[in-house]
Amino acid sequence: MLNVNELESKWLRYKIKSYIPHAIIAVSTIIITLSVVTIYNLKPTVKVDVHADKNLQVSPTKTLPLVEQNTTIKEKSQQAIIANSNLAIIEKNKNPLQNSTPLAQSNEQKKDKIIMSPSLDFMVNMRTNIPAKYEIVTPAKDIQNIVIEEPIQENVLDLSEKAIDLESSQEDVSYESKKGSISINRQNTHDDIKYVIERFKKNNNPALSLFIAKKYYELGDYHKAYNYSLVTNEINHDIEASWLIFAKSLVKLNEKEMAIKTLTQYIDHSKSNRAQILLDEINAGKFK
Amino acid sequence: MKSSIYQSSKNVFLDTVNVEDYIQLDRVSTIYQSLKDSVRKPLKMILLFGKPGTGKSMFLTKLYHDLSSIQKVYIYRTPILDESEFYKVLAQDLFGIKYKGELNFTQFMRVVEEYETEETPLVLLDEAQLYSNSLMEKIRLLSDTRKVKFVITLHKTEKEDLIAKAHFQTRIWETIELENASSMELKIYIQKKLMKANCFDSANMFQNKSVNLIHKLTNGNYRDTNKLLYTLFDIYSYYDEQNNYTAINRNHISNKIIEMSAIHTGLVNA
Ligand SMILES: Nc1ncnc2c1ncn2[C@@H]1O[C@H](COP(=O)(O)OP(=O)(O)O)[C@@H](O)[C@H]1O
Ligand SMILES: [Mg+2]
Repeated sequence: MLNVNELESKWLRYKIKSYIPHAIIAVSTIIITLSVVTIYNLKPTVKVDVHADKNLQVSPTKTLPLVEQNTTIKEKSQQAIIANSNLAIIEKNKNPLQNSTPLAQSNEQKKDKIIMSPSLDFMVNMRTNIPAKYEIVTPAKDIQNIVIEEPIQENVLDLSEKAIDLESSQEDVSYESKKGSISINRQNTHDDIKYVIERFKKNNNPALSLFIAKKYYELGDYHKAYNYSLVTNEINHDIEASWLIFAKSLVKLNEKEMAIKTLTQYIDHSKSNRAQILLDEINAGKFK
Repeated sequence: MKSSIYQSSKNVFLDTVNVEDYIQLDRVSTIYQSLKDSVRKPLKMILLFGKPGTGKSMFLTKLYHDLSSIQKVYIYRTPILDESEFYKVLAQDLFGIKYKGELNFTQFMRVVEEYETEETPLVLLDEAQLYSNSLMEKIRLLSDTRKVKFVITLHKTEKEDLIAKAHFQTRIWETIELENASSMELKIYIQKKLMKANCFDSANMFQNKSVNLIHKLTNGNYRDTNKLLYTLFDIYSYYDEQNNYTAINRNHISNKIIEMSAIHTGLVNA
């Protein structure tokens, strides 16, 4: 029997949830625009270039107080952002490398399912090498649940659409920030990743973790790229792009042997052309 | 209990496959026409391909219904998985020969080759992805004799893509692919379905905006749309019984109720 009342409250929660991302985007756009404007104002030389000389004479006295105000606001908001992101990182990393053990165990249990996984030894090495803050905390339990419950394929499709949305929204922002400085651009990408990480924490969707891995790789954060592609492979071990990022990150982390081993295994199982090309490049020393 | 318009609208979207419920959609009828043409061609096999819920079974049923008055045609809606059983059923249905013991492929092949008729019997197999590879191969060999013609439907998934590659790339196959509906087609589908059951008021409530949202949620999959709308009218009936008229607007379908139905049917995670 249909419980309409319960459904109504579920719907309400769903609506609220679906508005949160919009709210976040709106707020961060405002903050970014604000900081762009402030930085713009902070550079009088730029202003002189752009505007006519007349303005120069009139503006100083009038704009100065404004600028001051803006800066304080901006500073506060930036502090807030930094505080936030730190928090997120810390939270995220609470569960650091402990992960490797449950992951490995689950690998063994599902041996027929998950065809390859990085060797344990290597994970142990990583544990000692990498400061805790690089670790990701996706409890292995969650991963298993997802593997069993969700029809991953459909999900991937569905979410990659969303991921595309995200990318396009990022474009918007970076367009705005062209006017501003490079540092803002960066902040931006980090904010985006942060937002995607939040979403990934909620639904464990491999399309999201792959997106994060790619972004971190682009930013040169190969530890995180490694971690997120590893998580992606755990959830769905048939995503070619994820294996490629995984292997490339390994090379960047000076784990060439491991990268070659992993890629070889992956190619055995998938016959992936792109993986083969990458493997050849790594072997030939073309990819470093 | 009063039987409201919403109750009857709800029953329109029960997930069943009956010929009487078949809806003419432009794209579907072109495909249907080409399927009927293919059946007449000397092709030995026709493959109906598509994701679950794109209307393959409906198509096959319609074909069976239309052809049964003019030619020998047999439909098997659920696969006969046991090989010997499969041959025995075909021998019985197609040639009227009854076998008691086991019937293996070589024996059945002999029966088929010796059988003389003016017209080739047409065999429709639904859910063929459930047949084993080896039985599929035998079916192919059977159609090579040109004494039987097969139309089979197959779910489109990665695994079946492989089977498709192995078996269906030869020229004896004609492949027809069914796809999800576009937003426009979905609107026609919903409205025609409701109007067929005389639910004109409900049909009028589906304007482009509502249909677009439904299309977004179901991707235009007929089965998912059926499920969604079944729940939707269930909710409408509930509000109607409660005399909750604030929740129901008779001019158009409420987005909220569409989304509630999507949550209930699992099309969105809430
Ligand atoms: N042309 C059509 N006319 C009416 N109903 C259709 C049509 N195509 C699909 N449906 C409906 O969609 C549902 C799913 O179709 P079905 O043939 O069972 O899909 P498949 O066999 O591809 O999984 C069925 O309940 C059927 O009533
Ligand atoms: Mg079917």
